[in-house]
Amino acid sequence: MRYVGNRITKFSDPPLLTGRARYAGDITPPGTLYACFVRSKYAHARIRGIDTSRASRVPGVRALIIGDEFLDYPIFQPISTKPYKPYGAKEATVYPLVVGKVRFVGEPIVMVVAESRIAAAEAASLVDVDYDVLPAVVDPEEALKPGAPKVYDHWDGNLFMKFPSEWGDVDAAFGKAEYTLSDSVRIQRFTGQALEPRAYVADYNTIENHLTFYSSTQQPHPLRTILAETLKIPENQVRVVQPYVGGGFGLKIPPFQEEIAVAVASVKLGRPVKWVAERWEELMAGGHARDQRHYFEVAFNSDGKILGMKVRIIADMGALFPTPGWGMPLVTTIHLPTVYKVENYRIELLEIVTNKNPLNAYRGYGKECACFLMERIMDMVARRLGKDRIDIRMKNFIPPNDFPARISRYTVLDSGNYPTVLKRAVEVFEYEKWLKLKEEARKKGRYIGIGVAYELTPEGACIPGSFFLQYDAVTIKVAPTGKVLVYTGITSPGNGQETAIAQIVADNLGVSIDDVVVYQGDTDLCPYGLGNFSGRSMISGGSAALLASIELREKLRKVAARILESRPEDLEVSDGKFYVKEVPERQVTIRDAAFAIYKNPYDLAIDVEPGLEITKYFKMPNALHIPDESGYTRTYTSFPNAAHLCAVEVDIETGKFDILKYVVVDDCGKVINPMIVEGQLHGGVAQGIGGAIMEELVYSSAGQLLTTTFMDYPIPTAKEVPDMIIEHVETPSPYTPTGAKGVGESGIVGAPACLASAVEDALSDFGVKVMETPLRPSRVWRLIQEARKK
Amino acid sequence: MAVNTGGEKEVIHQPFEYFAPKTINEALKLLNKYREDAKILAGGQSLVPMMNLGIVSPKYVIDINNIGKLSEIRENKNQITIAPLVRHYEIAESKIIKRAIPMLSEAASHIGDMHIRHRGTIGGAICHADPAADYAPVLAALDAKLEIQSVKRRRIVSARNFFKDAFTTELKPNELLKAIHIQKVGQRTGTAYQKLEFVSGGYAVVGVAALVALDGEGLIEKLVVSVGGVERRPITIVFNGDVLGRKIENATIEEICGAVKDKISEPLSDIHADGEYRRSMAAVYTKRAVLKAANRALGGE
Ligand SMILES: Cc1cc2nc3c(=O)[nH]c(=O)nc-3n(C[C@H](O)[C@H](O)[C@H](O)COP(=O)(O)OP(=O)(O)OC[C@H]3O[C@@H](n4cnc5c(N)ncnc54)[C@H](O)[C@@H]3O)c2cc1C
Repeated sequence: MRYVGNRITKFSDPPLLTGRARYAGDITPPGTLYACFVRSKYAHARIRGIDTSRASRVPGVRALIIGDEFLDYPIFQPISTKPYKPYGAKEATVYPLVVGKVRFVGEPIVMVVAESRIAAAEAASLVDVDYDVLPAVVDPEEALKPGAPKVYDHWDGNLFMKFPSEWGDVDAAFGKAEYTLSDSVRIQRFTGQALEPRAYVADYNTIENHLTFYSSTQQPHPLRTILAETLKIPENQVRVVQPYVGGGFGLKIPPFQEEIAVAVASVKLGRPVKWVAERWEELMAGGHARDQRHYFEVAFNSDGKILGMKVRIIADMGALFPTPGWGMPLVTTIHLPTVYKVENYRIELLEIVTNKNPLNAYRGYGKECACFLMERIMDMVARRLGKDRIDIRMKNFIPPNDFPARISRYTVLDSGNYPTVLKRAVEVFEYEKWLKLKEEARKKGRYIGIGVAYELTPEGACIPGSFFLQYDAVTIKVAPTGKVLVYTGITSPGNGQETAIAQIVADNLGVSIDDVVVYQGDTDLCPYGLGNFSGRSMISGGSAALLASIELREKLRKVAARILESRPEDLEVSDGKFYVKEVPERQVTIRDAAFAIYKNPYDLAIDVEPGLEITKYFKMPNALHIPDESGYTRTYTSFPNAAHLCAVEVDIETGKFDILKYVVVDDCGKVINPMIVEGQLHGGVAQGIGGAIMEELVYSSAGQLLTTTFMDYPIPTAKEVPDMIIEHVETPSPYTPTGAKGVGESGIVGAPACLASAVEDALSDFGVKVMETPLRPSRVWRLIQEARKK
Repeated sequence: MAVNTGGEKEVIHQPFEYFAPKTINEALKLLNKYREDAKILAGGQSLVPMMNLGIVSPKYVIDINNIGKLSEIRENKNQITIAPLVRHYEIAESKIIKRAIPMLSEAASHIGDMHIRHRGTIGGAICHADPAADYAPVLAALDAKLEIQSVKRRRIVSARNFFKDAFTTELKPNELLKAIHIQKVGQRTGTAYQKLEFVSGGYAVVGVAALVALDGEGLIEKLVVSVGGVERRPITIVFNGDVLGRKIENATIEEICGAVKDKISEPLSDIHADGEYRRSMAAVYTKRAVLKAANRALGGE
């Protein structure tokens, strides 16, 4: 193995770092028109009328489209709520523009299309919308009360669904436990902000009835299907191209209202139409995340063993999008109690709609809430019993010989070695040393705290009847000259999957990585695949790449054997050559073997099929959608995990804290490229820090969003992100042929829990409890003030 | 010239007319003509974002960057004069200012990020009068004199009276800030600016400027504290008899901080920091600024 496991520089680095990468926003076909959306000023209002007469007089305006004109285009839903009908799941049809009433501030009402962006924007400012303002509901628990305003008139209330997850005998566990504790944990509403906002360019050719759609998307193929189904254009007449994407984080999973609207407008007008979101539009209407409250009770014994827990989760969905945001709290629910062996629990999830921007998938996708809850519980139990926080985790971990481990009706953890990972983190962090440093500092009036968290990052989501599954494809074509072209169904929103795929192909085909070129994101070139989400690129794409390269290599081997007058099984391959094991001087290059396949089908390549092209699909073997005899299923297929340890120092006069040290030891199975894996962890932890400390989307009681710029919605800068020490433990996935488990969401899951743990530890003299984020200085300061009063 | 090139390049949605005068007189004439409809463009770090967001939509933009005379720092025996177009980074790095009024450099070095410091100007920052901006408390503590010019009239206003309200100053629509005059601080006098920001490069949640003069015995001879970020305009306290003549020690500091807290009656409040927090932080940062200034008065850092 020459490339896998090594720090190969990402192919995408030079274009990205030199500003040469071309994004959707850089594409402007001749004759392009520009779109701008008139967005709702109110959280909840019926639209009485729309007057576009003033707007239509702006020079350059080509169309002013209102919701009713899109009634023929209900957006095709790539993920159906139908399987959740038994739990009461409701449905909502979403149109590209508001029809009837608006349900959140920023919902698009009118689409203006003009010759220039400035004309479109000016016209948009002149559209008069007559609103019949309705009372808004912004708090999920208020939304459940009788008489609360209804977000969807045809529902019987605001409850979207009630989902249970139960295991063992909770009541018995509580009955025999020595201790019980109860409290609540709350994660605020926040979301990711890709530096590249969403951007769409639709180019419809009226003569050919052909649509080319450039999108800053994470799923080109599903988007093609969605466009074809929604616009009723034959799917073979739709081409989706995903150029470079400047960050996805789950928030660019299609379809968005604007995405469909832009495509329909191009079809209606017969001209290219382009739209690039502004930052405030991303913050207001790009999809939000988190916003979960967890009320819990936990039962445990004096030895620290947790016997049972009861959890009630309140998830504020906002309104509904066709994107998979509503799955996020479900992911929290089905993965509790994460890495701990808690054999009795009763969890009830309530998903509730309100007049806010809909939830959307955001990196972490509910796993961070599960982690935050479990880690707060671990710290609470440790504190209650006066035990060390590392020990309490060791005591409760699922032991390494328990795998595969079923933890809920929906989840079986594949593999893991949690004690080894945590032990390594304790060593790397120098835990004992920091315990001493903390004590010494305390004597000098300095408040250092140590944070501990263990994240479980379920990956490889496999949701029945959706486009969120674990199969994917790789096509490899070897040219006569031995050069290799790879086409994948997985995509890269800037994080280098193409490089990892090339490493796998180069190693298994036996060629130099310099001879491998990878294409992604074009539905006319690549095999149908599901893009990127849920850390799936190596799980599904990497596996397909491995299978395809092996098959081509074996074909080449046969021809090489004939050329070398040897037996295929006597040949080795590396460095672009086949050679005879016993007599390495006898060799033939892959290029010559490839040439023979193309040029000598009747002699040297007589016993192989002509051509050197292959497409291989790989499907994760361990998902289970047909329930087994107990009625159990398996939704997620891969379970990376990581230990986080950090040290912080809190300035108790201001509540501000600095991160002094940050360690992550992760286990994402076989590491294909440590540099990419570490990059993912850096970014994940950075986003986790943002959510833990500063990011919050705040609504007024009337449902106005108060955080619409980076002034009000700060995200971490390089200064807030500490240097991280990262190490790996490799417990290979038993189900992927490479052993890789996925790493796309690692880091973000554990960071908030780790920081909360550290701040609470730093303030242990005051007896402060940290049960809520973001930990902005003013909140930490108030915790100290309140604790001092007691 | 009207800026409306069509296509997609522009982000400012309202068209405007742009002027780039070469002399102060020309600029003043334009200002006199268009008044409320016009805006001066200095570093553009506040004006342009506001235009992008549609918060202001001037019909006329008068770019003063081509007026060469407006970019100098001059020093004479007792006074430093700073022209309005001097950029934040120049103030942060200027040897003259660092030596004579360290807290002004300190304040400049905390503004925004590197790009903003290289574009943004002291004149623009002052005229914009954001309550959370950094120069205002510093200039108020120093009792800086602001030279204001219109076509017909020149006048001087103390920085302590210049800031009227949030985003509102003494300037009339036809007036331009032409210079900032600051008296050099004397012997055994220290200044310090201490800022609480939540994110690096962010505006001040609280910014406190302190000027402390000590006599030969180390007793307080003069003390001025000015607090930014907490109310709609900087709060400046020139301490009198009670504190003067006393040593810098815990009891004195507590009294100073108490006085600052008492003076704050209508603290700003937002989702990041409520009024009570800001008021308490004003006291914490007053302590930090006064201690640092006093240390500098004694020749320390
Ligand atoms: C991301 C970001 C972070 C920032 N952080 C901080 C911070 O931490 N602390 C801080 O103090 N500031 C901060 N700022 C603001 C920054 O200091 C601006 O540079 C400053 O507020 C405006 O100066 P300017 O030269 O850019 O003025 P412009 O934006 O060009 O003008 C600002 C206003 O002043 C008027 N004006 C300008 N010059 C004159 C003049 N000579 N006479 C009369 N009127 C005039 C203009 O007409 C306009 O109304 C930040 C800005 C940004 C964008």
